[in-house]
Amino acid sequence: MKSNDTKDMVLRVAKAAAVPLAVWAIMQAIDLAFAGMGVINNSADIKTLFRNLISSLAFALAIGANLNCGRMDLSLGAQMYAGVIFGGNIALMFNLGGIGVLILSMAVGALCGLVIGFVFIRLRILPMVLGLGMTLVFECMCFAINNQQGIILYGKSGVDILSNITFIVIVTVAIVILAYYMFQLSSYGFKYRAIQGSQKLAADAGINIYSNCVICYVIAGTLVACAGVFTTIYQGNLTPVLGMSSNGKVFTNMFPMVLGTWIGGLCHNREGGILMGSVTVNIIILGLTKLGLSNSVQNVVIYALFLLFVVYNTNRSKIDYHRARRARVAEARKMLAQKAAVH
Amino acid sequence: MRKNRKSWLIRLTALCLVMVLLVAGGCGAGGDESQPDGGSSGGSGSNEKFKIGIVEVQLNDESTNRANWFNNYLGPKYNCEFMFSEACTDLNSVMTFVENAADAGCDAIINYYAVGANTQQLVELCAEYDMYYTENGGRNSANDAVYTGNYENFAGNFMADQPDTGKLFHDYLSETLDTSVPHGFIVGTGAAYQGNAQQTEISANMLGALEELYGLKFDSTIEELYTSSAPVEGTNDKGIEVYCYPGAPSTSGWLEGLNAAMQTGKYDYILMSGNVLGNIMTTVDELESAMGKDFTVIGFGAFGEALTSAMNSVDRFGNQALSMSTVKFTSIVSTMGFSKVYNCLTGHRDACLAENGEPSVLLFRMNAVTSPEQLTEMSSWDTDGKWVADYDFIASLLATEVEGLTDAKIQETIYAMDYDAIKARLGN
Repeated sequence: MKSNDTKDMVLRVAKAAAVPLAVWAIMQAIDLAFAGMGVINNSADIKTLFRNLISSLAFALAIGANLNCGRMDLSLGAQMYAGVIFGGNIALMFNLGGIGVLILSMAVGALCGLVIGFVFIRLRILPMVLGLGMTLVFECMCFAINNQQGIILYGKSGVDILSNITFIVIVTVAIVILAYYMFQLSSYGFKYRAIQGSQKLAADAGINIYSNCVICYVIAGTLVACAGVFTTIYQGNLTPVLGMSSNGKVFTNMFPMVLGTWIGGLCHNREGGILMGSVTVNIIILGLTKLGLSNSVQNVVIYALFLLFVVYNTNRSKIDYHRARRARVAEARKMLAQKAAVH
Repeated sequence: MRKNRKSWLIRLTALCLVMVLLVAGGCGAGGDESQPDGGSSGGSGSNEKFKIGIVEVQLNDESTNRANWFNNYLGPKYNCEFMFSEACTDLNSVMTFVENAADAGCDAIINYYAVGANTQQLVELCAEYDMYYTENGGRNSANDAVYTGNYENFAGNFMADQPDTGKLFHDYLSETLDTSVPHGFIVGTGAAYQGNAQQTEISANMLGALEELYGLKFDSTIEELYTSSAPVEGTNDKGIEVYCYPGAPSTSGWLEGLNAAMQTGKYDYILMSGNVLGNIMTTVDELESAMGKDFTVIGFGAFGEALTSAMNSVDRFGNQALSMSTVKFTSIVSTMGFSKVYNCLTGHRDACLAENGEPSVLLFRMNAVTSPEQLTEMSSWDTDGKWVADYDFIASLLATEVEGLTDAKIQETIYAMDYDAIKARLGN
């Protein structure tokens, strides 16, 4: 029994790792053939990969947190900006260093999530509409403070730790473990999944769907702020945007989320799947940059792959149906042939 | 009853949200309608109060400094109020701001998002609302018709003397580059492929300097290299590695692409025509550690935290992290734009016209900065309470203050404000 469990576990891990490994092998071959270098060549590449990985992982988990319950929160990008610009600047003001920037940004992100969660459960406005409204509010708030400068981390003392590879790995592992615990093992997670199945049945069964919803928004806000801190340390600064431009962050991270959910289905672990989905997408991006393609061509490739994947994923049931049908027809033909042979 | 009240509450809140959407959507455009009338000191020349809309293209140290100068220094003296936009990056957002500015009672527009192809449309839009227009850009084939089209509301333009800016980079490379040691060059051509005059001149001068210093001949023309929208290798007869890399950090994947190019090991000089120092220095530092290779960074810059940090940092090889950059004095540039529209508003549009009767383009010269000491000295100049463009300088560009002022005289006054003159004025 125990050996079966171990075998099952190994099989799941293998399935989850197969996708990024396969993608890495393909990109490695392409890069070696056309650019004369691999996808990952030195510690700077590893650092870039992990920094982008943690950003897309946290963002993808945040999108998925609400989306799995039928709420598409379009204000996540704005929450990220608000979290990092407000929290980060407060931390810098008090010389709290990189960890201070991370913690305070996440705290402000959580606060933003709390506000949106409360507004949502009190008003029951469509989540997308609410998201758009809150996006504009948060964007304007970010624009209004710090002389429209946002936050500049380049050259600030004490923030080097945010570029430290060990620290990034620790935060990545912590995010995956905490997300797994929250959504799979905790009592909150059980209720969350019950609501995910049927909100009405969950409410009838006595689950407080409102508090669950608010907590979900808080988790999402915390995660996007965390993502934003690592994006900012890589780019050197984060300048406020207006006119719903922050939504771009949400759509950019849809690919790892969708791919990750699919991988999660293969290995029966959604959080692990999203981790692998993020790794996969970031390997593709890193691989494409080595080819020296223009940014627009890179984006065309990435979004074309996303589109192809969505088309496949949406029509997977039809493919399975046709495969099963072919198998049934083959089986019937085989039986007919056997009967004919007997007679 | 309770349900009914709740339903009304929901409707009311939905209405409020819609209003927030509308207001916030225009908040960027409405932007910072800062600074109250502030004109009691009654600027010399005209007691009439003017309101001027300013279109920003980037929100950075420079724009903050500019807003400070306009709002707190210039506004009270000349009885002017200013209205700033969000960072506009396309024609649509500029037009929206112009319309909002007209609704808010603006009399003129100073546009820092200058794209030649948009000029005529914006001038005509401003004409519809009886507003004067000037922009921080030059005259080119795309907007030539505006200069010859007798648009009464067009005050002409103002810009950096771009060939002179490009020459700063050309001269620096000529003076410092040791051609006896093999070097490879990444030339960040930025938005030169979109026709950005500044980045075009800087890229062209950098590539031109390489041609001269190595005596090489590129397989393509220099223009073909800097107008390429995709990364392109500048192959040449001397085998010097030159890689032209267009785009800006705001584009997804730009930084990763630069990182990948640097990792090829072929290049050790990073020459940037755009203001990207705050974005690339972390990557440069990380690659110096990872590859054990010393990169020399030269790039366009502006006063602010990014330039200060880069210029004052020492890399792991003991060299200055940023070897050379440029600075401009925001208040001088702002005075040029202001003088254009203010002269028109006070009935002296002739002071904005060149000798041939067409609207003129005023030019200013940038300064090169090569050491932290030099930067410290210069950055202390154009700040609150120590503006390079003080009231005397502003007055010298306004026809209400100087009788018989001409465009040529204005240009002469601006060119006279060079490094030595400023140093003498500010008593350093």
